[in-house]
Amino acid sequence: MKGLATLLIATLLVGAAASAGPLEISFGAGPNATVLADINASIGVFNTLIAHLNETFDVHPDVSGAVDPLDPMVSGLSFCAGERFWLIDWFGVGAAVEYARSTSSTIGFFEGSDISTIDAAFGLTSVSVTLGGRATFLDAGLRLAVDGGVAYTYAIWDGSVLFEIPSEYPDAISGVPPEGESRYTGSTIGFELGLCLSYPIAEWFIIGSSVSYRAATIDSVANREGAQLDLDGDGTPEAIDLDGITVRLTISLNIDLSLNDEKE
Amino acid sequence: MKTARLILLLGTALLAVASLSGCLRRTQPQALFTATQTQDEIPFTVAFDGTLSYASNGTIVSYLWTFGDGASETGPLVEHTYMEDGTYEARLIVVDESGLSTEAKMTINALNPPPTAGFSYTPKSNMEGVYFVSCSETITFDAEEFCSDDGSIVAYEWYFGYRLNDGTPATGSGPTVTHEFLYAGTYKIILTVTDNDGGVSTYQEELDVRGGPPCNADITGDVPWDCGGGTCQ
Repeated sequence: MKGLATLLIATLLVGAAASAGPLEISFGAGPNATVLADINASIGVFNTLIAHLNETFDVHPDVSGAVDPLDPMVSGLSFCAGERFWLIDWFGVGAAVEYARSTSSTIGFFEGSDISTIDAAFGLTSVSVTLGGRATFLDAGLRLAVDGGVAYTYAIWDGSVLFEIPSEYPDAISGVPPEGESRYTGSTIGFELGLCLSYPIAEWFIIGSSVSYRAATIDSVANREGAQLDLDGDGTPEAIDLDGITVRLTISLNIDLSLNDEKE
Repeated sequence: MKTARLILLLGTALLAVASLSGCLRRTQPQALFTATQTQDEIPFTVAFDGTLSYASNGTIVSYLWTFGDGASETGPLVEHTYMEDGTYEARLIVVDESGLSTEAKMTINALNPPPTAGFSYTPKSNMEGVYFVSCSETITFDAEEFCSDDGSIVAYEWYFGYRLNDGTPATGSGPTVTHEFLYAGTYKIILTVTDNDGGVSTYQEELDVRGGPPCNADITGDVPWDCGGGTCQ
């Protein structure tokens, strides 16, 4: 992290020193869609088992109750903030920080000879630092630009699982999710590519929107004890696959860093 | 401006390809199954049901079962009988239309049935339907024909229900043993048998010993003596 911070600061300083051009500071938010293939596959296992238990006990004379399935973790809200130095009129470099979170949870009970609880709650928080550039290729009132960059992503997975199967269930089930509560973390380097459409309201104030694709997969995340996340208990660690699309609505402030009035 | 449009086109195409590659990624099928039991004494039959398995990209086209004892089977619903004791890993491998596969497993404990234990003793008397033996009489305990096992019994351990003067329990070993009870009373005879797979069973029976202590009995020792009103024989 220290190296990354140093790189970030160096980029900003070099950019400023090299150009003394406009500094653009932006803030934004928007929906964030992620693939999370392994995670959603595991949620699929949870939901298959929950559906099977619901179906079994729907007709069981001694057991009542049902459990709602988990929603897949495919979307959430993300927030971003960044700086960009325009080295030349149509090309700028900068850094941005993005925070995104998505969650899924369910809780329900089966009541038979005793009460069996199924309570699962998952949350994925990711923080990305992206170093990259923006090239404007159309400037006709509206500005169209392409973004690209390398992103360091740190992800935190919080999970809490209680999966009690009523004693009235007659069989043994393979792949019953392991119970427990734990936090797993991991990081990776990925890339981001996107298109941005912006509209300058004033020379110093710009609104814009962007859509970008992010490719970043953390092969496995581990808890404090070093155990890897195995959500469905199949013995294979789950990858945190953050590939996906982010749509952002942004506002940007342009600050002119030029030292004289000749700069346009 | 042509260059700008070309860049736009390339950028859009790259974005679309990258997005589609994420969306179209194939996911593995999920193998899940149930078993009617995971532990019992051999021989026992387990019914496996793999119909909980599913494929996000289509259907499961193959179910392959291995039961951990060298046997295998195909199909969503199978049965298997475990004949030998041991711990086995039953596995289901499912394959979807794309040829992707995954597996699920479950541990099955096939238990060794314990031996049956029992014994008889001679000589014994019968008074009004109650069997008893006499003090100082040599009693023969025979377990051989009353014990059985799927393998063989490797150890017979006897406890005659009391402790000797030095505090050690009165014991014996072997399929047939003899023992003399010096004092009248009720003794709990315990037989423990062990088979060749480590299975253990016990059998116990109360033995009624009647009559007074023998003339050579150590009636001044520490052994509790209760002849029940009998006299020294």
